[in-house]
Amino acid sequence: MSSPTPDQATNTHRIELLIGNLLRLGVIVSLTLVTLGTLVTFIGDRDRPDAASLDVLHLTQTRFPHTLTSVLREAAAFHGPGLVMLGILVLVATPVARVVAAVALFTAERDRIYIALTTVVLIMLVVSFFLGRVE
Amino acid sequence: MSPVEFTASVFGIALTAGLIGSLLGVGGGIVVVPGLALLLGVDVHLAIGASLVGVVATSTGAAAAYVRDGLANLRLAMLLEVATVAGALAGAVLANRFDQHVLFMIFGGLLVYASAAMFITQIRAKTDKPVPHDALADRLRLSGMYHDKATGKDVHYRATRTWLGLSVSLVAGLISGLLGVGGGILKVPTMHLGMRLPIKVSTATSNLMMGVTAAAGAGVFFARGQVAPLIAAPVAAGVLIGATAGSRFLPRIHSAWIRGAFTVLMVYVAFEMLRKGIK
Repeated sequence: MSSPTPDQATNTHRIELLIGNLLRLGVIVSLTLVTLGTLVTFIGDRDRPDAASLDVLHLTQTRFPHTLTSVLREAAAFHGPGLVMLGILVLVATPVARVVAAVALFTAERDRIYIALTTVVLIMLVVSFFLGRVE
Repeated sequence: MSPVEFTASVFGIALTAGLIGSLLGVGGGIVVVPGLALLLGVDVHLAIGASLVGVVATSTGAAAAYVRDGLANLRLAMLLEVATVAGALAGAVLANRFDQHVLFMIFGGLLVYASAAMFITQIRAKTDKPVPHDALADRLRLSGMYHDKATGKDVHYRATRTWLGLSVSLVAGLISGLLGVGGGILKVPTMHLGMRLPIKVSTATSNLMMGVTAAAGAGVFFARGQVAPLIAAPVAAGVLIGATAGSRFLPRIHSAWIRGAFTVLMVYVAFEMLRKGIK
């Protein structure tokens, strides 16, 4: 394998900066949604948590919305917990987007070993969302 | 405790975790999980699910800066992530098989190790010895360079013992998915002392990897319904704000006494965890 040319090096640096900005954007969007969701939860009567919603947090068998569709539906209805969960999903998706960017980076560099490695990581990340469901 | 007080308490724990984490270079999980489970009595599985979200937040916040400064080695991160993510999937599945006593016991054990490791990471790799040749590391192009702002010099480095790095990453990923921590306490000493990477590169790359690793674990916990909005929201916000404030305003260098105090605290929490595990 030859060492990267100066052209490739600037290209790599550009994509790295892009990845950095992508990460920052994901964090900002997520934090906004989480904060908004928390405000909606506590202001107004509809979503306000009561003693019972705290009690369930001490129980092992407690389950929360765990499908993309249910989260999107709740967020679209402007429910506080739904907006929070959408923010959490954006946050969790941000590193996944970084891996997608890495696949693109290594494809641009025609680096076959790393295209394979990053693709394997991406597949495992997608699998994670199904693994918890089949249990 | 009212819901508002509960949210404020979780936020406070997460803020502390973010601050300590950025000061000492550990993920916030080691503070968030005991804080939620021991202080607030939250179910340990829900505490781990929320903590994983917090680890993603810390890593993603810090990673942007590391990537910009060229400290994190992207190739190395992607290679080791194959191992950490595989480990995290296994760990997150296992977490549901164990009841809280077992998880408390393992967490207590991790804390005992972590307090010892706080001193190990202080040891610098001997730079006068040549880096042993590793054909795999060369083939995977793990060598790199970064600009050290403190000395104003470009630092070139080579990696070695790739298989050791991959093996420890697998264990670090397993622990991350199982207990909701970042696993940096396992990876950084191995990357620095074993793979012979500069400490700054080891820390930055480990932090970058934590985001992807914890995302895999968080994915499993979310799909299982073990990410609680009421806990995850203040954890994500608190850790993020704490970590940002910590890295902006407080210098890392003068953290010797914080490190000492934190080690004492970890030993105490380890004792509490093991006690709860046996009961």
